[in-house]
Amino acid sequence: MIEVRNLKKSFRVHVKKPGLLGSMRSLFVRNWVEKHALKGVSFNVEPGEIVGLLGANGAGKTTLVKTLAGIVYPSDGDVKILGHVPWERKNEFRRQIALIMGQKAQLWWDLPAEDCFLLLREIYSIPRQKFHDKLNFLSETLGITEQLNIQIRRLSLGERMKMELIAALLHEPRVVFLDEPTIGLDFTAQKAIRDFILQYRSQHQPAMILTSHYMEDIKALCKRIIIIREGEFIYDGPLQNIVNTYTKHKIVSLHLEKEISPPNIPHEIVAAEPQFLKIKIPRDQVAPSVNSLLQSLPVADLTIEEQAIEDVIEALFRGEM
Amino acid sequence: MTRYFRLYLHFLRFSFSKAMEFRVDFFFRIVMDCFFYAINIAFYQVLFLHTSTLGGWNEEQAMIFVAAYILVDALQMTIFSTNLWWFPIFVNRGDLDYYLVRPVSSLFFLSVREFAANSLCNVFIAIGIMIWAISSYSQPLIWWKILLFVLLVVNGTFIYYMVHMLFLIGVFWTHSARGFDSLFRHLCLVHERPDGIFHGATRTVFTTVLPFCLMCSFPARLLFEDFQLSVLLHILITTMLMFFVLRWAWKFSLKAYSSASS
Amino acid sequence: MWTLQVFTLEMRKIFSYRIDFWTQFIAYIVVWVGISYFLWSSIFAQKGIDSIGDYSFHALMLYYLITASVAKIIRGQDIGQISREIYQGELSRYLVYPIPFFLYKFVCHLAHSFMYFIQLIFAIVFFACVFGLPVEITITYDRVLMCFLFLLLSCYLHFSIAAVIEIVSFWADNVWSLLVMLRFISGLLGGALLPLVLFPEWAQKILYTLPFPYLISFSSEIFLNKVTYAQTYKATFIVFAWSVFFNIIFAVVWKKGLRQYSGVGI
Repeated sequence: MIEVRNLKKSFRVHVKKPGLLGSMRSLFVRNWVEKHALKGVSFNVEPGEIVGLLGANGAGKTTLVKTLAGIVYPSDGDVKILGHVPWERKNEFRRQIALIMGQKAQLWWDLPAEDCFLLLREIYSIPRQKFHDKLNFLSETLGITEQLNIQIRRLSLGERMKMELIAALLHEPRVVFLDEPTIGLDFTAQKAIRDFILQYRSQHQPAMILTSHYMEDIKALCKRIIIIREGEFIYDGPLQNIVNTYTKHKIVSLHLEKEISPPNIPHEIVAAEPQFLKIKIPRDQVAPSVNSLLQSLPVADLTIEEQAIEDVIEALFRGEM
Repeated sequence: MTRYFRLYLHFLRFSFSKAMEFRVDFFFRIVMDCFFYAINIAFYQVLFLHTSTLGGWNEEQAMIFVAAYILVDALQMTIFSTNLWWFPIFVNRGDLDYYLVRPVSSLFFLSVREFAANSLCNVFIAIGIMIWAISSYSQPLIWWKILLFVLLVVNGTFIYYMVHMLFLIGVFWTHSARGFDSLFRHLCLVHERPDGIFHGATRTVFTTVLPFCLMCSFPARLLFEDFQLSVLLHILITTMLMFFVLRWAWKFSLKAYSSASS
Repeated sequence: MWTLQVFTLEMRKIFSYRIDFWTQFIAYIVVWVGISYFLWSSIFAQKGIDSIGDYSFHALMLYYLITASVAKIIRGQDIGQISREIYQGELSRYLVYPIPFFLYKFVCHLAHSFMYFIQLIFAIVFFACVFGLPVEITITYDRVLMCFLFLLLSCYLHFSIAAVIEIVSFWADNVWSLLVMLRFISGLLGGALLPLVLFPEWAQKILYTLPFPYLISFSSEIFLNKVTYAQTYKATFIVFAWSVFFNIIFAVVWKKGLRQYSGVGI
């Protein structure tokens, strides 16, 4: 459904020297710096797939999403979405996609949501009966039927986001881009939105691309994630595999029965207290090492942990892995 | 086409329900425009204390001309003004994004989505002034000429919008439209003056590239003077050309917007 | 002196977008005086006269140049500043300062006026260099000084009127239109559209008791030597009277408004 080949996007930024002289100079001579937001990325997304797009601020997530939605012209590369080139912005294409940006409202501030939806019905030429069924269904699922007639600006942030979701999904898009859909929401609202997205997916099998800063979103929604750093994909694969691929260690914690002097162990000791030890052991040596630890030390209790997925991804963002 | 018409009906509905809320402002804006009309009429009245003709027109003719540009003002305030006021702000905040993903012309959407319901009263007042000016005209006027005149004044509103939009379109590159916008507002004064006072290169500019004289002066000419097909064609062809230029410029600047944003 | 601090701070703010500032001013003056040129040259030519209401064509153009600049000077800052602050709840910021709000805002306003004043001087010098000064006008120091002092009064009077309108926004959502109305009225009745001598006798009599002529045209008339000393004294008195009148209204409305305000958005 979404095919991306070697997509590149660079743009020029104008750098200005500070101070009065700097701004006078910039009137005549402008210094430009080439910024590469995307450095040739390729991937496919299939129907029914929700791909989580992760990356630090400025890594290129939003640029990628906007390029796929047809808002941004790329510098190079090919994109085919439902057989269309997004930035040609054919009506046929725009009718089948939806874009939700958590930080930008699309609904009109002064109007009740229902009025906005009626306008959207016109924009997307949705048949009347279908529109009403759809609206009833969506608003009931999200539990905001009561709020449909209240002006957007009087709604809570969570309710507003739910309205934005309805607005985006009324025309049953086959490709959905979600840019930080849960930003700033409380936990219950986040969960409601996640459940709703899953439900939409199971009914319509759209291709979805989701960016979010909340790991909870990613864990709940995406089987596959793409990690982007400085315009390049550094990981594209199942969420579950990321820990196996990138962490070479497990953490073994030992509670001891009595105080001992620091033992002589061939592994890195992360933390040592009189009756407690935390040891980093390479994945392939966990079983034999634990065995020998149990024999040589007075162990009262023992736990083996994976490194948290959040930490792994964080480290990837920073380029530490 | 019918879809666009139905979309526009929605915009109308929205604006009326919104206008019902802000009562005081609703009233202020009507009064403000009335003052504008009164002052313009007074200005020409005072001028004609000191001269009998201005740019080839006598006082009665000048009043019809004033009524015409008042009507243009009322119409553009109602249909376009609010939208064009927001437009540079939208571009700078990057709010165009949502308009670009919809299967509707973004230029249409951005230009007419906010209908100023409160200014609609002023359109009626402006029509009233027009009726007064035409009925107090002492020479006979042919009905089809009056009809043509009114139609061309409406067309003048459209020209007004297009010129304004072309001035604002620079915001895609400069990120501040204040300079362009204020230049347009100053230049706008040209359409409130009879074209007869301009001559030479200035006149050429104001009848072609910056067609301010085609908004009200030329239509008024067709009403008072012998009908000249060339004048009518001049207006129509310029309107059409401007429309194509605007469409092209819009496409071109969207490309710039898309290439520059990230 | 905090007033000086506020003044220079505001000046620095203006300087940060000076390019806009100058291009806008030049465009404004060129277009405005240009259109007046075409309008009046057509009237002068049509009637075959060389002066109207004791203005020669040359002096009339200078009159338009000065009044156009003065209109900018007295309006100073972008209109709607105070009302915006009230509407958005930013007023609280000023209320905690140990200085009177009215004076604070007036000083800010003066900084903008001052910038436009510099532009006016440039404009006059430019005009004098390119077209020369009208023969009937000789510039004397005392007249220039008087013109400058009167301009200050005009600024204060306009600020006093505008301030009253701005604080209507304690009750109304948007007073922008009221301020535009003030601009329209002061444009016509203040003499920016036409010299006031062209108005009918009876209208002039009424006009000169109203505040409007003293906002825009009077300082230009001083500069162009159209008024006597006696008239200037009288004008000064009228400006004072109107200023006091509007200041009293401001004080009353402000007091009521603050009670109403109750710090929206704190």
